[in-house]
Amino acid sequence: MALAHNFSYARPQSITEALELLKTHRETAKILAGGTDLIVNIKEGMSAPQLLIDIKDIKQLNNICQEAGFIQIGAGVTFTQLLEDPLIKQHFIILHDAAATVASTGIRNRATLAGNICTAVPSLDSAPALLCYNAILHCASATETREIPIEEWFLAPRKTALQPDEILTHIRLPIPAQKSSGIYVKLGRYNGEDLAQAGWGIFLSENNQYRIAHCALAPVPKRARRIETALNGKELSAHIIDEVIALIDSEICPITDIRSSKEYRLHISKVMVKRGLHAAIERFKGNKVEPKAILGGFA
Amino acid sequence: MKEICFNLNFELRHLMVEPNEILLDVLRDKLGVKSPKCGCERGDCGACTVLLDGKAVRSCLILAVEADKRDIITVEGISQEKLSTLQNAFIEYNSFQCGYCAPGIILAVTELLEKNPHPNLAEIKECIAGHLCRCTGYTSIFDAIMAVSKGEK
Amino acid sequence: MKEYKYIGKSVTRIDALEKISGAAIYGDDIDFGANLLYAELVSSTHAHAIIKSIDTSAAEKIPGVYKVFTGKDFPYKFGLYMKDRFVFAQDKVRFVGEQIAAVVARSPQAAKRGAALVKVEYEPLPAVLDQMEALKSDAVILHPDLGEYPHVPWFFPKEGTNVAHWRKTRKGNPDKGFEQAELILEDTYTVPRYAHCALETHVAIGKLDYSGRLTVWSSSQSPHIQRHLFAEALGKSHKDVRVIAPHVGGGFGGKAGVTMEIIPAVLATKLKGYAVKLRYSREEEFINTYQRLGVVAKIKMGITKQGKIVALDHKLYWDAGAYVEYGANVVNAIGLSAIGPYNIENVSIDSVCVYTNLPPGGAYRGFGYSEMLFGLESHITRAAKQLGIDEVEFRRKNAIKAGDLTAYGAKMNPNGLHEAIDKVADAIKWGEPLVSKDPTKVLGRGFSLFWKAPAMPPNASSSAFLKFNEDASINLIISGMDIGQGYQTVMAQIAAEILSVPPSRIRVETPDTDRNPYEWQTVASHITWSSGNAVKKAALDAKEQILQLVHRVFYYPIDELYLEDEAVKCHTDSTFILPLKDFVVDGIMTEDGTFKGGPINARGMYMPEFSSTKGDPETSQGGHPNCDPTRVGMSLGDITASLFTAIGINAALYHRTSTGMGQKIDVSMLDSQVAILENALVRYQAEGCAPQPLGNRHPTIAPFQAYLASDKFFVVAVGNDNLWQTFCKAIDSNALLTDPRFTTNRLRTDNIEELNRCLSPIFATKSSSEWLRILEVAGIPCAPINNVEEVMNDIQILARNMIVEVEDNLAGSIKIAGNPIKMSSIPESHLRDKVPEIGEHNLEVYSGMLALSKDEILELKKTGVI
Repeated sequence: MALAHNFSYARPQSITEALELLKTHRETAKILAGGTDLIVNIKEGMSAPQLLIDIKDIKQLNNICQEAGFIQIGAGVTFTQLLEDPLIKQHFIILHDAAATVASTGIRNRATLAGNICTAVPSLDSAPALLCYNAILHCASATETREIPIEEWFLAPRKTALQPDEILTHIRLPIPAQKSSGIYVKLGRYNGEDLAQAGWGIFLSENNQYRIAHCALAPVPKRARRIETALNGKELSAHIIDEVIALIDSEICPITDIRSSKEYRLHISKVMVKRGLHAAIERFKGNKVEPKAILGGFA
Repeated sequence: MKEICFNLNFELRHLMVEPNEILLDVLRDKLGVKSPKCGCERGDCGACTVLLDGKAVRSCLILAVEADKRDIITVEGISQEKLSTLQNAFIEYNSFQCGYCAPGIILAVTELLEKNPHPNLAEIKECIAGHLCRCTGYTSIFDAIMAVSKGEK
Repeated sequence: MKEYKYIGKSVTRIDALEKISGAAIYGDDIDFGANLLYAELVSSTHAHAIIKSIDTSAAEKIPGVYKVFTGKDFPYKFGLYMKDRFVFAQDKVRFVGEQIAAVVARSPQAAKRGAALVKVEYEPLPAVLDQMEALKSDAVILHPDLGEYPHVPWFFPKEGTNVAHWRKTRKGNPDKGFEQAELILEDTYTVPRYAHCALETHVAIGKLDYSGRLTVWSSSQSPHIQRHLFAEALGKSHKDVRVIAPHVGGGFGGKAGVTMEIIPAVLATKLKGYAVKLRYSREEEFINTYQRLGVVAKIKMGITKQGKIVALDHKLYWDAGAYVEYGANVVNAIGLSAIGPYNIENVSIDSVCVYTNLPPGGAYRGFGYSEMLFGLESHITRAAKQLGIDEVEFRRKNAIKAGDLTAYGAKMNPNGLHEAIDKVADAIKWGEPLVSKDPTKVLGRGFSLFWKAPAMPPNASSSAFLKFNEDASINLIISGMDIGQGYQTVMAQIAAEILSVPPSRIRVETPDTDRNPYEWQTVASHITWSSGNAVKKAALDAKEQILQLVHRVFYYPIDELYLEDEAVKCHTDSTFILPLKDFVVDGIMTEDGTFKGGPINARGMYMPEFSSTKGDPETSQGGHPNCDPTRVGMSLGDITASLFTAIGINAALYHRTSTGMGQKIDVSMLDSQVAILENALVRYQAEGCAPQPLGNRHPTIAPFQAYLASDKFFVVAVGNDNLWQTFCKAIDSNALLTDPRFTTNRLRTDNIEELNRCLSPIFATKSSSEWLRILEVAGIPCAPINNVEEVMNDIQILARNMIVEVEDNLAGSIKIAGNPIKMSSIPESHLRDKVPEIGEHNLEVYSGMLALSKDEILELKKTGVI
C-alpha cells in the first residue's frame, strides 16, 4: 500500500503533552485517532503532515460519560463504542441510528465521531444528529479552551472552525430535558456501506417540538429552521406535511455528483422527511421502527 | 525508525519500522503473515482485515507504529491448532471460490460470533456489509454462518 | 442416466482448505528475499497525444531508485490475435492510463516518489472517445500503421481507418427477406463498458537469473500463452522462459491473455539477478486493464404476421479501445453469431471493431454475447408484443434446431433448445398470471434465450499428466487455472470417477509451465470440456496400464478386471483385491522375486480436429465447423470409367488389326478415379502428409482460384512468375509486384492466405466482366464461371456446336450436349438423331449386318436375348 510521504510520529500520554506538540508544529501536524480518513488523504497526496500526533493513548479521551445533564463523548470514542453504548441509545437515538450507518464494522471499530466531524465532508452522517441535539464541541489549545456550538462548526466542505493549534477534545450533548425521540434516515445507493446521498435527522420532543437537520444536501450540514417553524407546536397532519414538503426546495441546495443528481436528491428528500416524521412519531409513542425499512430497504 | 513490539498470533514480535509504514505491508512483507490481502488501499473492500485487540479493523488504514503494545490475530492465528467451527462450516458449504475475500470475512465473523454467538441473518449481513466478494453472490457465505449460528455445526 | 460415484455429487473443493486456512499463496504473497525490486508506472494523463519528451533525471536521483525505463528501452510490439500493442508507449499515447515509463526501486515508497518526479511533455492530439465518432471519415486515425500489424488470418483490418477488424456475415438475401416481412422493426441498443473488478488486482514478478533464464510469476488465466508471448517478444527459446501461476483472486476474463504481466517480464531482462514486481493499485486496475467493450448495435428485423423472422440486419459497432489485440476477437465471435439462437434465412451481420482513445477492451465473461443478446432479445420481445404474439411462443417458432444453418452456413448440432424453452416456461408458469400479494410490490417476469460459442482458435488444446504416489494418492498435473470456478475439483472428480480414487486423495495445483504440460488458456467457458477430456484420457491411460499389468502378472482377462475403492478387483474372482498402493510405484513382485511394472505415469491430450476458421472474408461462409466432405458435381466415377472403356476399346481394336487377337477389357470406376488424381499421389510422397480440402484453389499454383468481383466470382490462373509480373501490372498494383512475400510461385502458395487478403479487396472494386476484359488483354489466363443457363447461351460453346437438339418421343425437342470429338471426316450437325428405342434397329443389325436367318432371330427372341 506504501505511503510515499514520510512523517514523524508521536504518541502523547496526556492532553497537555498533545497540545504542546500542536503548539510547536501547528499546521504541519495532524491529529491521528482512527486514521480512516487521514491515512487515505496522505496516500492520495491531499495531506502531507510532518508529524502525526496519535491521541489513542490519552485515556480521558476514550470514554463516554454522563455528567450534570450532559453526555460527554471523548475524541477517541469510536462509532462502535457509540453504537454499543446504552446511554447513547437511550437519550440520543438519532446519533445511534447514524452510527449504525457509517461505513462498515471494520471502519466503525476505528473511526471516531470527533474525526468524522473534523474531516467535515458534506455527507457526514453524524452531523444531522449533532445538530438536532445542539451539540457543543470542546476544543483546547495549549493556552485556552473554548466551546463551539455545532451550528458554528461547519464553515465549508472540509473546513471547520477548529484552529491549527487546537484539538477537539470532546463533544457534549445536553440530555433532552423532556421525553423525546427521533430518527436518522439515510439514502445510500444500496444496503451495505455507502456515503449518504441524502441524510435527514428528525428530533421530536414534548408538545410537538421539532428539530430537523440534513447532510449531503448543502455545502455544510444545517438545521432546517423553516420546516421546524412549520411543524412546531402542531399535531402532524397531511396538510402540515404538504406544507413541509413545499418548503424543502428552499431549505436545501443539493448538487449533482457521481452518487446522485440534484433532481433526485430534491425528490427523495421529500419522501425521507415525510416518512421520517411519521417514524419519529411512532418511536415517540414507544413503537419500534427500523430506519433501514423506511426507504424500502430489506434488513 | 521506531521500535515496536506487539503480540502477533500469540507470539511477541519486535521490529523497527518507519512511521509511514502501513500495518498491512509490515505484516505481509516483514512478519511473514500473508492472509490479510490488499484489495483497494482505501478500507472499502475488507480484504486487509485483521483482529486488533479482538476488533476487526482495516489494516491498510493503520500505521504499523499504531500496533505497538497491541494484540493482533490473523487467520494464521486461528488456524494454528485446528480449524475453527466457522472455518469448517465455510469448507462444508463451499462458501468461497477464488478465496481472496475469505480471510477478511473469517475474521469479521469471528469477532461477531464472539460478541453474539447466535446472530440472525440481518446481523450477519451487517457484519459482512463492508466485505466485497466478486465471485459468490454471498449466499453460500450466509448459509455457512447461519448454520454455525443455529448451532448446527 | 448412469449412476456415478463422484461426478454429479457434492465433493469438498480441492482448494478449500488452503484458502480457508490462510495457506493459499497469491501473486503478491510470494517472498523473493532481498533481491526484490518494486516497479511503479508512470501513466499517460492524455487520451491521445504525441510524447515530446520524458525527463527521468529527477526520478533517478531519489534514494532507493535503481533504474528508470521508458519506451525506447523496449520497442516491442505484442498481442494475442493482432500485434498492435506496445510494452511502453513509443511515440504516442492512446489512452489516459497508458504506461509510459517504469521506475524501479528498492522499496515501494521510493518507486512511488520517483514516479511522481518523472516529467512527461505531451503534444495533445484530438481524441475520439466514442466509436461512432471514430468511424467518421474525418476522425483522427489512431493507428496509421494498421496495415502492417501481423494478425491471425481470420481478422480483416481496414488500413487508413479506425476499423481494426470487420467481420461480415452474409446469408441468403436480406433485401428479398425484408420484402416478405409484414413488420419491420428497427432500433439501436447501447451497452457501456464494464470493469471486472476482481478483488485481487493484477500482479506479476519477473526475474532473469544469471544464466539468462527468465521466470515470471503472474496472476493469470493463461500461463502458457504468456510464456509464448514473452518468448516471442524477447526472442528467447520457450524452454528458457518459465511462467509460474499462483492462486488467482478472481479473473472473469480480465486476467486472460497478456496485459501488464509483460512489463515486469521485459524489465527483468534489464535487471539481471533481481526479481522485479509490479502490482496494480485499484485505480490502475480500473484504467489500464481489459474492460468489456462498449457497443452500439443497430438491429433491423423483418418478421411475418405469423411471427417468423425472415430477415435480420444486425450492425454492431464496438468501442474496442486503443489496442484491440484481444478485444477484436470479441468482435469476431459476435460477428459470426449475432443472429442469436434462431433460424433465420436472410442475414446480414456487420461486427466492426473500432479503435478509440479508451482503455483496451478484452475478454469479460460472456465475451460479447451478453451485450449482443441484450439488444437482440429486447428487440425480439418488442417485436412479439407488437405482433400480439406471446414472446415465448415467438421464440419457440424461431429457435434454431438441429440441421438448421447458422449465419455462417454451418449445420446446427442437436442442441436441446426447444426442450429448454419448454422446461423453463413450465418452471416459471409462463402464461399464468402473476399476482403480487403485497400492494407495495410489483412482480414481473421476463424470458430470453442466450447462446454462446467459445471464440477459440480451432487448435486450442489441453494436456494432462497423472502420476501415482507410493500410497496411491494421485498428483494430477494440468495447466488450467482455478480462478474460483472450481476447475481443480472438477478435474479431480473426473480422474476420481475413472480410477475409483476419491477426489480427496488427488492433488491438483496451479501450474508451472516447466513442469505442467500445455494448456491453451482458461477462457471461453471451455476448460471443463477441453481439459476434462485430456484428464479423462490420462485417467484411462493409467487405468489401462494398471489393468494390463495386473493381467500380465495374474493372468485374469482384462475385461474381467475393474477398479474400485483404490484397488484392482475381478468380476469373476471376488477374492482378488489388489490395493493400488501395493504396486503403483513399486511394481508387483512375482513368484521368482522379480518385479513387473513400475511407477504408473499417465498422460492425455485433447485437441479438436473438426473445426476450421477458413471462410470468405466478405460473407463468412465456407468456414466449417462440422464440415462434411462434398460430392463432386457430376458422376466422375461413371463418366471416367466409360471414357477409359471407350479408349480401351479403340486400343483393343487397333491391337486386333495388328495381331488379329481379341482381348478382355477390365475398367472399373474406382480405378478410374485413382487414375485421375493428377499429382496428388506424388504430392503426398513429397510432403509427407495427405492433401487437405482446399476449396476451389489450385494446390501448387497461386493465385489460381475463383475470386469474388463486385458482382460475382470468376477464375484467375496466374501460372508462373512471368505471368505474375504481368498480372500485377494489369491490376495496377505496384505494391504486390514488389512485395517480397509473393515474388515466386512457391512463396505465393505458402502465403496464400495473405495473398488473398490483398487480392480480395482489389477484385471487389470492379465487375467480373471488367476484370476478364482487363486480364485477357494482358494475356493472363482467366475465365468466367458460368452457370448452366450461361453455358447453354455461351457464344463460344454454341459456335463449337456443343449444344445440339434432339427430338424425343416423350419430351419433345430437347437440347443436349454435343459431341466434343470433332473429326475432320465427319461434318458437324446441329441436330442429333433421336435415341433409338430398344430393339428398334434389330432388323438392320441382325438380318442386315450380321446376316442372321429369320429362325435364328426368332430363337434369340424366344430365349430373351433380344
